[in-house]
Amino acid sequence: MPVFPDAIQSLVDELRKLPGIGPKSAQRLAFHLIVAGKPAINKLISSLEEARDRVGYCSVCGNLTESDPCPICQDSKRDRTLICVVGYPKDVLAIERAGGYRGLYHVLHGYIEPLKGVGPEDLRTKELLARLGPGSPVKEVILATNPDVDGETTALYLAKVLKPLEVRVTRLARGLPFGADLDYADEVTLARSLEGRREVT
Amino acid sequence: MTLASLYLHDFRNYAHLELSLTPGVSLFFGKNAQGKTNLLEACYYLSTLTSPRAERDLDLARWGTDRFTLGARLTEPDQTSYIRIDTIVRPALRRRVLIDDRPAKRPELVAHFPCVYFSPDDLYMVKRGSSLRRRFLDSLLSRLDPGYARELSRYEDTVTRRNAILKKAFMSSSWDKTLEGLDQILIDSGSAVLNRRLSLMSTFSGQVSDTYRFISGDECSVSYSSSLGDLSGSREDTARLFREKLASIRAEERNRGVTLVGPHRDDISITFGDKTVRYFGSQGEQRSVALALRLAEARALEERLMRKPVLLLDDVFSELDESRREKVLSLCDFGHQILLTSTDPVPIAGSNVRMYAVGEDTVKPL
Repeated sequence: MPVFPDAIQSLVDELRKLPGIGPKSAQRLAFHLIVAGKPAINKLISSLEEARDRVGYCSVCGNLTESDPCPICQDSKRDRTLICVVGYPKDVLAIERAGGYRGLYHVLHGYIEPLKGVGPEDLRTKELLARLGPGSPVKEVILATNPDVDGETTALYLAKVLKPLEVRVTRLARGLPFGADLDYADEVTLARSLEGRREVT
Repeated sequence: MTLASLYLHDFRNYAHLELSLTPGVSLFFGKNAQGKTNLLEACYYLSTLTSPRAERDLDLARWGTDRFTLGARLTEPDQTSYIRIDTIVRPALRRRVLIDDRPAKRPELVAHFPCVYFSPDDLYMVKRGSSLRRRFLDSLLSRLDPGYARELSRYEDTVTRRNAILKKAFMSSSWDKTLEGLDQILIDSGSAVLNRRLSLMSTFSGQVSDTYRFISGDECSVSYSSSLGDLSGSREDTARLFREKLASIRAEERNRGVTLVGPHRDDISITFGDKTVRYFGSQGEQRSVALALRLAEARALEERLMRKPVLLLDDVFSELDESRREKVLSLCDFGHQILLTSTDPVPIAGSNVRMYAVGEDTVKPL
């Protein structure tokens, strides 16, 4: 039963491949674009092309960038003794948004996922070790992986690999979220918060 | 706390049903496949957001519909409260839970309206392998302690990942290091799970003995039996034992490609003296033990939540003798509200019993 012209159907099919877009949303977007007309579509096409041609990965940290090395790696005001290791470029964005961190990053492009057969060699681990080689200014590596089993596994693997090097390895604290009620915190979270307690100064 | 009325909309075979209930015993009788069990199932869903028998919420919506609504009115001497749950099952599962018109999560629901469900299939908890007994314990613990479910799923996630690596034909040194990390998480989360289970069992085993003695007049004993051996030490001792055990069976785990020790291989052992009930108990004894486990569950919930759980007893009379039936019914004298199903209008003595005829997708009080 052909409902749409072929050209619209293939547009819908392409849009559906995007994350977070279901069949209904894909249809809505397709119709919106068709109705919006040529100028809007041309603008979208040219920004897609621009993104495709100008954005790549930073050869140092692996983050998305238009210049290589990326602005963060080039920034002389950033603390070169600190590297924060994250899973994906979006995590860099999250930490930057939080503010307060002035060190460098290293993006792994994934986590160790035994269920998908993704091992340490499939991530940018060799590149991380290269940054920590002899003469490196880095004194501390912060492991900022997700607090799930794959994130934890990745952090523990990196901790083992980094151990022989003369570098401090830390990971993000886990515990009570800000604004939470102590009374309502479950025992696991509370126990973790106790383990990770800090001196008040 | 009394479940004073129950409301079902597009749930199972009921298009629309409103039912008033009273404290004491409510007996629902009717032929097979008329929807007696569905009433108890609705109550349990109102308490836990899970069905005791359907795997997916999709099966709970009435045939041809995409959503269902359940409601309950609960009365206490000084106040009345309302629970309402809207569940959309298609295209994606979405649920809205309201207690007195305020959004609520599962732990609040369990604490507000605790229920215990007994089904004839509970016999298999006693009769069959260890997985149903672990599931029983895990289900109880996750209602007593919301953090438990999270720790358990962290443990289970670790086991499946560990198994995937153990199954590899060739173990590179980087996978080997990954496995070391997973061992660390396995021991950490596994010890946390064990710790909770053991701390529950320290009171729960006595409660099961008590409820079994209450039902049958006989003795039975219940204890936690771990694949790690003797766990009487501290949590640190347990973690050390876990580590040693893993080291000693590493070769066998590599051969078989699965994690061979830990809480996912543990069991609850139920015995009469030195005889295992699973192998030596009669059918009637096994059924009484299953019921004792459920009644002990009610006690454990009551102690933690300070509320008497409603007892939902599905077809419990079919295999109990007269004296045991009376014992079960006497529980309402201790303040429990009881909802029962039966294929016959069993004559039950007592003034606090109300009968309901179930048939043709409706329920009529007699």
